[in-house]
Amino acid sequence: MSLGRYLLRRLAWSVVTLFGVIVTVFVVTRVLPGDPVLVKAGAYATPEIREAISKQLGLDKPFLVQLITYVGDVLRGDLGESIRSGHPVREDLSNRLPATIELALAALFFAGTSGIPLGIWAAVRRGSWIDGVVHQVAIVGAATPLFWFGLVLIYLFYHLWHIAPAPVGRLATELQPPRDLTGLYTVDALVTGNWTVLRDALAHLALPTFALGFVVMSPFIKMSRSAMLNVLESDYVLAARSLGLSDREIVRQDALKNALVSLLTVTGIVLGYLLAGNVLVETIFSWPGIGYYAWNAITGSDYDAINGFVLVVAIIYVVLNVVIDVAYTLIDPRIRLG
Amino acid sequence: MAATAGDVNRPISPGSLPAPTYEPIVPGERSTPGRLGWWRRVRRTRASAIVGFCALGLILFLAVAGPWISRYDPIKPDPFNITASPSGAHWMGTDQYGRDVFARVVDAARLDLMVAVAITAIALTIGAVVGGLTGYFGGIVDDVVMRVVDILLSFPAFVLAIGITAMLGNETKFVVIAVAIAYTPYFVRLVRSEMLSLREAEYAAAAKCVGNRRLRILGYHLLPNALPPALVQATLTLGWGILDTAGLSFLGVGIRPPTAEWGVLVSDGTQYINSGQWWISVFPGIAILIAVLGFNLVGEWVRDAVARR
Repeated sequence: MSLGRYLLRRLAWSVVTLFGVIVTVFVVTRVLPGDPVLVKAGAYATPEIREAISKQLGLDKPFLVQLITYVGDVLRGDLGESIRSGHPVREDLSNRLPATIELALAALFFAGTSGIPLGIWAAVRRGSWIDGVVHQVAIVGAATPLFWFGLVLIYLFYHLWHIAPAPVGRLATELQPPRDLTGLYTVDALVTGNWTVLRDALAHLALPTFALGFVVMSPFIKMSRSAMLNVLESDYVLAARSLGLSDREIVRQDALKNALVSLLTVTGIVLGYLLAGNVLVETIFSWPGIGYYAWNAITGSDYDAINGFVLVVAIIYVVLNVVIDVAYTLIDPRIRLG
Repeated sequence: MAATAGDVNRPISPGSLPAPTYEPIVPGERSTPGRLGWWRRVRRTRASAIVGFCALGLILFLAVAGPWISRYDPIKPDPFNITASPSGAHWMGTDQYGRDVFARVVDAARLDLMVAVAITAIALTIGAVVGGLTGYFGGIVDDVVMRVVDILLSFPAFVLAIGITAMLGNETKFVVIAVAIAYTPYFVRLVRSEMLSLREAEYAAAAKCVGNRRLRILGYHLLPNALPPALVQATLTLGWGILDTAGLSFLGVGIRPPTAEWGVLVSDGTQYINSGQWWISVFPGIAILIAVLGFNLVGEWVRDAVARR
């Protein structure tokens, strides 16, 4: 199969999946035993109000009509209106997305740059105490409740040691955000050369990044260790060794490139963790991204906003997985042929 | 947040699967007589597995013996003992309503374990039945089910659970349903793929030749052999179930206060972290950590045991 046809088929499937995701969210919100009218009107609404809301939601129409209307709304970008902010949910989410992206990228970067070397180190020193300690880090990281870990970090670094800034938002209140280029404060401040803002943004970013990064680090450690072990035991590494290459050279030149495929797999897994973990971390650090928005929506019974959040996260996840799959085919020619 | 997350269509590269480890079988060792045989077996077990079993044993002990260890009521407020720091009287201090944190942590152990077991049991059962049937019979039903599984797997499990509980409401049974729905697809996919290879096995053909009905072959001959990998997944799901349940409660879409649940307990203390009353949140979190750590370590042990089979 040619690369073009493979990609086309992959994209077609992802469109089907996206459609399925929209239908799933519809089913979850409209068909499950919960009563959307009760939810929207509150328990003390009069029958007239309930009927009006039921009509407004289109619940008096047949199921298929409701489904088609809903899918149409979503495709036009209409995710409903937030009760709390009074704005369209789509607008709210897109305003808050850069904050989430900044945190997720930072955590991914942290987890990757610390997890991958740790895993490789453990593989190279297989069976030693280093291997053991790295294994413990991975195991404990995977078992740590993220929301609790964030609180512990706040207690230690903010309350006790006064190293970190107050765990509220992305910048100190007296600072103006940098000129809006990408929406990522650190990048924007760096580009515009705004050093005070850059320092403050990094300080605010540090703890949430560490909390999220530590928890998602474990797949990186495990995967890079086992991938590296496989590669180190392979024939071509044996051949490279017999040619007199040093371990360091082998790891850097041959092994790393071959381990890259499985690292892509991990990145796909970790993205799921990141998108889920974001809600918890953003809530604890009052980080103004879509996760914090979702938490506010939950506490305020803002149902359109919650649905919008679930839908947007799922769409992001599907799209990123397509990107990863495409990256696969570019790295590993075997997959295209399979 | 399962470790098997990702796209189903994605081919598994040879480098991504850790090679199963085999323990050398020493002749005569298994039949070694003597009273210390069990101890030798314990010593051969990996240290991490022992730690895992101890962690689970501790949590299980707290869950069962809780009411006899703590003399305080986990729900009733005590206005004269608000936010007392840990002491001999209150081992883990008291919270903002004067409730003993230790009593609440212990009380929550039972609920969290039960919720995790319920979640896993539902996901495993549905996974075994649906995965077994679709894997064995194939056909159009199989295609449809696998598409549904794919779609459910395109949600991060925890986010899907948030969406479902937000709609169903804050009740324990809804939390169980929501998290179980989020994890069921993993089991369906796992059992199905096992079944796909097992149905081609020679003993399946032999069972058919001697006149067994297909459902009997499926349920009696094949399913028991398809289950071990699902049991590994189940052990891990017990841990993730606790993490997700606690996370949902922490966000306010899970189990509601004043019920003692670990996520609720951590959430209770968030307001007090910045004024220095760390114990309200920290101890329940450690309980979660120990329980999940236990399930993960035991899960690894089960996985190695299955790989050695």
